Amino acid sequence: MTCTETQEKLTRGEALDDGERDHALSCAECGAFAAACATLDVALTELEPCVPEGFADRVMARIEREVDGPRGRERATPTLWYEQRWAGMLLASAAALVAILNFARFVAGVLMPVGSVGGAP
Amino acid sequence: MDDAALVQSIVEGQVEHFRLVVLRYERPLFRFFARFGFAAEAREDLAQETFLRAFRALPSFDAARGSLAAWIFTIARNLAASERGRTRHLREVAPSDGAQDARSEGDGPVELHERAEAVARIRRALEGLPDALHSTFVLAEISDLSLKEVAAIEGCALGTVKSRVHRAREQLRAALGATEKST
Repeated sequence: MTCTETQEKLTRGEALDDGERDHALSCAECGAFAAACATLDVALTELEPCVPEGFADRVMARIEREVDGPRGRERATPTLWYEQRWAGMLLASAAALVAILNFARFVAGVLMPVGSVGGAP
Repeated sequence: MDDAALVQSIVEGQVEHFRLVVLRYERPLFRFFARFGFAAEAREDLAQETFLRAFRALPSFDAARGSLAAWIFTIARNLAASERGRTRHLREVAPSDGAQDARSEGDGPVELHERAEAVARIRRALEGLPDALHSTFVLAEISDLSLKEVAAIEGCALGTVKSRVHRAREQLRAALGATEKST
Protein backbone atom coordinates (compact mmCIF):
# COMPACT_ATOMS: atom_id res chain seq x y z
CA MET A 1 0.00 0.00 0.00
CA THR A 2 1.03 3.61 -0.48
CA CYS A 3 0.89 6.70 1.72
CA THR A 4 -1.85 8.07 -0.55
CA GLU A 5 -4.02 4.97 -0.15
CA THR A 6 -3.60 4.99 3.61
CA GLN A 7 -4.33 8.70 3.87
CA GLU A 8 -7.38 8.41 1.62
CA LYS A 9 -8.74 5.67 3.84
CA LEU A 10 -8.07 7.78 6.92
CA THR A 11 -9.75 10.75 5.29
CA ARG A 12 -12.85 8.69 4.53
CA GLY A 13 -12.88 7.62 8.16
CA GLU A 14 -12.54 3.94 7.25
CA ALA A 15 -10.83 1.46 9.57
CA LEU A 16 -7.27 0.50 8.60
CA ASP A 17 -6.35 -3.14 8.20
CA ASP A 18 -3.30 -4.57 10.02
CA GLY A 19 -0.84 -3.75 7.23
CA GLU A 20 -2.08 -0.20 6.86
CA ARG A 21 -2.00 0.32 10.61
CA ASP A 22 1.63 -0.88 10.75
CA HIS A 23 2.43 1.50 7.89
CA ALA A 24 0.71 4.46 9.60
CA LEU A 25 2.70 3.75 12.76
CA SER A 26 6.03 3.52 11.01
CA CYS A 27 5.59 6.36 8.46
CA ALA A 28 6.01 9.84 9.99
CA GLU A 29 3.85 11.53 7.37
CA CYS A 30 0.97 9.03 7.66
CA GLY A 31 1.31 9.08 11.46
CA ALA A 32 0.89 12.87 11.52
CA PHE A 33 -2.00 12.58 9.08
CA ALA A 34 -3.72 9.95 11.27
CA ALA A 35 -3.28 12.23 14.31
CA ALA A 36 -4.85 15.14 12.41
CA CYS A 37 -7.79 12.95 11.37
CA ALA A 38 -8.22 11.79 14.96
CA THR A 39 -8.25 15.44 16.09
CA LEU A 40 -11.03 16.13 13.60
CA ASP A 41 -12.98 13.11 14.86
CA VAL A 42 -12.62 14.28 18.46
CA ALA A 43 -13.74 17.79 17.46
CA LEU A 44 -16.78 16.30 15.72
CA THR A 45 -17.75 14.29 18.78
CA GLU A 46 -17.84 17.59 20.68
CA LEU A 47 -20.86 18.38 18.52
CA GLU A 48 -22.92 15.65 20.16
CA PRO A 49 -26.04 17.42 21.37
CA CYS A 50 -28.24 16.11 24.17
CA VAL A 51 -31.80 15.19 23.33
CA PRO A 52 -33.93 17.55 25.47
CA GLU A 53 -35.82 15.87 28.27
CA GLY A 54 -39.40 14.95 27.34
CA PHE A 55 -38.77 15.32 23.61
CA ALA A 56 -40.50 12.04 22.70
CA ASP A 57 -43.49 13.01 24.88
CA ARG A 58 -43.82 16.34 23.09
CA VAL A 59 -43.70 14.68 19.67
CA MET A 60 -46.29 12.09 20.71
CA ALA A 61 -48.54 14.82 22.13
CA ARG A 62 -48.47 16.66 18.79
CA ILE A 63 -49.19 13.44 16.93
CA GLU A 64 -52.08 12.55 19.23
CA ARG A 65 -53.50 16.06 18.78
CA GLU A 66 -53.23 15.59 15.04
CA VAL A 67 -54.89 12.16 15.13
CA ASP A 68 -57.69 13.33 17.44
CA GLY A 69 -57.94 16.80 15.90
CA PRO A 70 -60.46 16.40 13.07
CA ARG A 71 -62.76 14.23 15.20
CA GLY A 72 -62.49 16.69 18.07
CA ARG A 73 -63.33 19.61 15.78
CA GLU A 74 -66.32 17.71 14.40
CA ARG A 75 -67.69 17.32 17.88
CA ALA A 76 -66.92 20.85 18.95
CA THR A 77 -68.27 22.80 15.94
CA PRO A 78 -71.94 22.21 14.99
CA THR A 79 -72.38 22.01 11.22
CA LEU A 80 -73.96 25.16 9.73
CA TRP A 81 -77.38 24.78 8.04
CA TYR A 82 -76.04 25.56 4.57
CA GLU A 83 -73.38 22.86 4.97
CA GLN A 84 -76.06 20.20 5.43
CA ARG A 85 -76.71 17.88 2.49
CA TRP A 86 -80.44 18.67 2.30
CA ALA A 87 -79.74 22.42 2.09
CA GLY A 88 -77.37 21.88 -0.82
CA MET A 89 -79.95 19.76 -2.64
CA LEU A 90 -82.66 22.32 -2.01
CA LEU A 91 -80.55 25.23 -3.28
CA ALA A 92 -79.50 23.25 -6.38
CA SER A 93 -83.13 22.34 -7.13
CA ALA A 94 -84.25 25.95 -6.72
CA ALA A 95 -81.50 27.14 -9.04
CA ALA A 96 -82.49 24.52 -11.63
CA LEU A 97 -86.16 25.55 -11.41
CA VAL A 98 -85.32 29.22 -11.91
CA ALA A 99 -83.16 28.32 -14.92
CA ILE A 100 -85.94 26.22 -16.48
CA LEU A 101 -88.53 28.99 -15.94
CA ASN A 102 -86.23 31.60 -17.49
CA PHE A 103 -85.58 29.36 -20.49
CA ALA A 104 -89.29 28.73 -20.95
CA ARG A 105 -90.02 32.46 -20.77
CA PHE A 106 -87.35 33.14 -23.37
CA VAL A 107 -88.65 30.45 -25.74
CA ALA A 108 -92.20 31.69 -25.31
CA GLY A 109 -91.12 35.27 -26.04
CA VAL A 110 -89.39 34.24 -29.29
CA LEU A 111 -91.91 31.76 -30.69
CA MET A 112 -95.19 33.37 -29.72
CA PRO A 113 -96.05 36.55 -31.64
CA VAL A 114 -96.75 39.55 -29.58
CA GLY A 115 -100.51 39.85 -29.36
CA SER A 116 -101.88 42.81 -31.22
CA VAL A 117 -105.36 44.16 -31.08
CA GLY A 118 -107.01 45.45 -34.24
CA GLY A 119 -103.77 45.64 -36.19
CA ALA A 120 -102.51 48.44 -34.09
CA PRO A 121 -98.79 48.69 -34.29
CA MET B 1 -39.63 -5.37 15.91
CA ASP B 2 -38.07 -4.49 12.55
CA ASP B 3 -38.80 -1.25 10.71
CA ALA B 4 -41.32 -2.69 8.27
CA ALA B 5 -43.35 -4.41 11.01
CA LEU B 6 -43.18 -1.30 13.17
CA VAL B 7 -44.46 0.92 10.36
CA GLN B 8 -47.20 -1.59 9.51
CA SER B 9 -48.46 -1.60 13.11
CA ILE B 10 -48.54 2.22 13.22
CA VAL B 11 -50.36 2.50 9.92
CA GLU B 12 -52.90 -0.05 11.18
CA GLY B 13 -53.71 2.22 14.11
CA GLN B 14 -51.17 1.51 16.83
CA VAL B 15 -50.19 5.19 16.98
CA GLU B 16 -48.37 4.73 20.30
CA HIS B 17 -45.82 2.52 18.49
CA PHE B 18 -44.58 5.66 16.78
CA ARG B 19 -42.85 6.45 20.09
CA LEU B 20 -40.42 3.61 19.25
CA VAL B 21 -39.57 5.38 15.98
CA VAL B 22 -38.99 8.63 17.89
CA LEU B 23 -36.79 6.95 20.49
CA ARG B 24 -34.85 5.08 17.81
CA TYR B 25 -34.06 8.15 15.70
CA GLU B 26 -34.18 11.16 18.04
CA ARG B 27 -30.49 11.05 18.89
CA PRO B 28 -29.15 10.69 15.32
CA LEU B 29 -31.59 13.42 14.22
CA PHE B 30 -30.40 15.87 16.87
CA ARG B 31 -26.81 15.06 15.93
CA PHE B 32 -27.70 15.61 12.28
CA PHE B 33 -29.26 19.03 12.89
CA ALA B 34 -26.44 20.03 15.24
CA ARG B 35 -23.90 19.26 12.53
CA PHE B 36 -25.92 21.35 10.15
CA GLY B 37 -25.23 24.23 12.53
CA PHE B 38 -28.70 24.72 13.98
CA ALA B 39 -28.96 26.09 17.51
CA ALA B 40 -30.64 24.08 20.27
CA GLU B 41 -34.14 25.56 19.90
CA ALA B 42 -34.16 25.17 16.13
CA ARG B 43 -32.95 21.58 16.48
CA GLU B 44 -35.95 20.68 18.62
CA ASP B 45 -38.36 22.37 16.19
CA LEU B 46 -36.80 20.68 13.18
CA ALA B 47 -36.66 17.26 14.84
CA GLN B 48 -40.33 17.55 15.87
CA GLU B 49 -41.31 18.63 12.37
CA THR B 50 -39.35 15.71 10.87
CA PHE B 51 -41.20 13.19 13.03
CA LEU B 52 -44.54 14.85 12.35
CA ARG B 53 -44.00 14.78 8.58
CA ALA B 54 -42.77 11.20 8.81
CA PHE B 55 -45.92 10.23 10.72
CA ARG B 56 -48.19 11.88 8.16
CA ALA B 57 -46.41 10.22 5.24
CA LEU B 58 -45.94 6.84 6.94
CA PRO B 59 -48.52 5.02 4.77
CA SER B 60 -46.35 5.84 1.74
CA PHE B 61 -43.21 4.29 3.28
CA ASP B 62 -42.08 1.24 1.32
CA ALA B 63 -39.51 -0.92 3.12
CA ALA B 64 -38.59 -2.57 -0.19
CA ARG B 65 -37.30 0.75 -1.54
CA GLY B 66 -35.05 1.65 1.40
CA SER B 67 -34.62 1.68 5.15
CA LEU B 68 -36.73 3.72 7.55
CA ALA B 69 -33.54 5.53 8.61
CA ALA B 70 -32.82 6.66 5.05
CA TRP B 71 -36.46 7.69 4.61
CA ILE B 72 -36.51 9.76 7.81
CA PHE B 73 -33.17 11.38 7.00
CA THR B 74 -34.44 12.30 3.54
CA ILE B 75 -37.24 14.25 5.26
CA ALA B 76 -34.74 15.75 7.72
CA ARG B 77 -32.32 16.69 4.96
CA ASN B 78 -35.04 18.43 2.94
CA LEU B 79 -36.17 20.32 6.03
CA ALA B 80 -32.61 21.29 6.92
CA ALA B 81 -31.87 22.43 3.38
CA SER B 82 -34.96 24.65 3.17
CA GLU B 83 -34.42 26.01 6.66
CA ARG B 84 -30.73 26.61 5.95
CA GLY B 85 -31.62 28.60 2.85
CA ARG B 86 -34.44 30.50 4.55
CA THR B 87 -32.80 31.51 7.79
CA ARG B 88 -29.07 31.66 7.22
CA HIS B 89 -28.78 34.54 9.64
CA LEU B 90 -30.49 32.57 12.41
CA ARG B 91 -28.01 29.75 12.19
CA GLU B 92 -25.26 31.79 13.73
CA VAL B 93 -24.22 30.07 16.89
CA ALA B 94 -25.25 31.73 20.10
CA PRO B 95 -22.25 32.21 22.40
CA SER B 96 -23.69 29.89 25.02
CA ASP B 97 -24.76 27.21 22.58
CA GLY B 98 -21.39 25.57 22.09
CA ALA B 99 -20.70 25.54 25.79
CA GLN B 100 -24.05 23.91 26.43
CA ASP B 101 -23.41 21.21 23.86
CA ALA B 102 -19.92 20.49 25.10
CA ARG B 103 -20.73 20.54 28.80
CA SER B 104 -20.07 17.42 30.80
CA GLU B 105 -19.87 16.65 34.49
CA GLY B 106 -16.73 17.68 36.31
CA ASP B 107 -15.68 20.33 33.82
CA GLY B 108 -14.16 23.50 35.23
CA PRO B 109 -14.48 26.94 33.64
CA VAL B 110 -11.27 26.53 31.63
CA GLU B 111 -12.28 23.14 30.24
CA LEU B 112 -15.74 24.47 29.44
CA HIS B 113 -14.27 27.43 27.61
CA GLU B 114 -11.86 25.23 25.65
CA ARG B 115 -14.65 22.83 24.71
CA ALA B 116 -16.91 25.68 23.67
CA GLU B 117 -14.08 27.05 21.55
CA ALA B 118 -13.55 23.66 19.92
CA VAL B 119 -17.27 23.31 19.19
CA ALA B 120 -17.49 26.82 17.76
CA ARG B 121 -14.38 26.16 15.64
CA ILE B 122 -15.71 22.93 14.16
CA ARG B 123 -19.09 24.58 13.56
CA ARG B 124 -17.47 27.46 11.71
CA ALA B 125 -15.46 24.98 9.66
CA LEU B 126 -18.64 23.02 8.83
CA GLU B 127 -20.44 26.24 7.94
CA GLY B 128 -17.64 27.06 5.54
CA LEU B 129 -18.21 23.91 3.50
CA PRO B 130 -20.11 24.22 0.22
CA ASP B 131 -23.74 23.00 0.56
CA ALA B 132 -23.30 19.72 -1.33
CA LEU B 133 -20.19 18.73 0.65
CA HIS B 134 -21.78 19.83 3.91
CA SER B 135 -24.97 17.84 3.41
CA THR B 136 -23.23 14.67 2.22
CA PHE B 137 -20.62 14.81 4.96
CA VAL B 138 -23.20 15.33 7.70
CA LEU B 139 -25.33 12.45 6.44
CA ALA B 140 -22.29 10.17 6.12
CA GLU B 141 -21.26 10.98 9.68
CA ILE B 142 -24.61 9.72 10.98
CA SER B 143 -23.81 6.18 12.00
CA ASP B 144 -27.23 4.77 11.16
CA LEU B 145 -26.73 5.38 7.45
CA SER B 146 -24.56 3.50 5.00
CA LEU B 147 -22.79 5.43 2.24
CA LYS B 148 -25.16 3.71 -0.21
CA GLU B 149 -28.13 5.15 1.69
CA VAL B 150 -26.50 8.57 1.71
CA ALA B 151 -26.12 8.30 -2.07
CA ALA B 152 -29.85 7.49 -2.36
CA ILE B 153 -30.80 10.47 -0.19
CA GLU B 154 -28.49 12.86 -2.03
CA GLY B 155 -29.51 11.47 -5.41
CA CYS B 156 -25.94 10.87 -6.55
CA ALA B 157 -23.56 7.97 -7.18
CA LEU B 158 -21.78 6.11 -4.39
CA GLY B 159 -18.44 7.31 -5.78
CA THR B 160 -19.62 10.92 -5.54
CA VAL B 161 -20.53 10.43 -1.89
CA LYS B 162 -17.08 8.98 -1.15
CA SER B 163 -15.39 11.80 -2.99
CA ARG B 164 -17.50 14.47 -1.22
CA VAL B 165 -16.81 12.95 2.21
CA HIS B 166 -13.12 12.84 1.35
CA ARG B 167 -13.06 16.48 0.23
CA ALA B 168 -15.15 17.63 3.18
CA ARG B 169 -12.86 15.92 5.69
CA GLU B 170 -9.82 17.40 3.96
CA GLN B 171 -11.30 20.90 4.05
CA LEU B 172 -12.34 20.54 7.68
CA ARG B 173 -8.96 19.19 8.69
CA ALA B 174 -7.26 22.04 6.86
CA ALA B 175 -9.61 24.62 8.42
CA LEU B 176 -9.08 23.26 11.92
CA GLY B 177 -5.31 23.01 11.42
CA ALA B 178 -5.15 26.60 10.15
CA THR B 179 -7.21 27.85 13.09
CA GLU B 180 -5.12 25.96 15.61
CA LYS B 181 -1.90 27.34 14.12
CA SER B 182 -3.24 30.87 14.09
CA THR B 183 -4.34 30.75 17.75
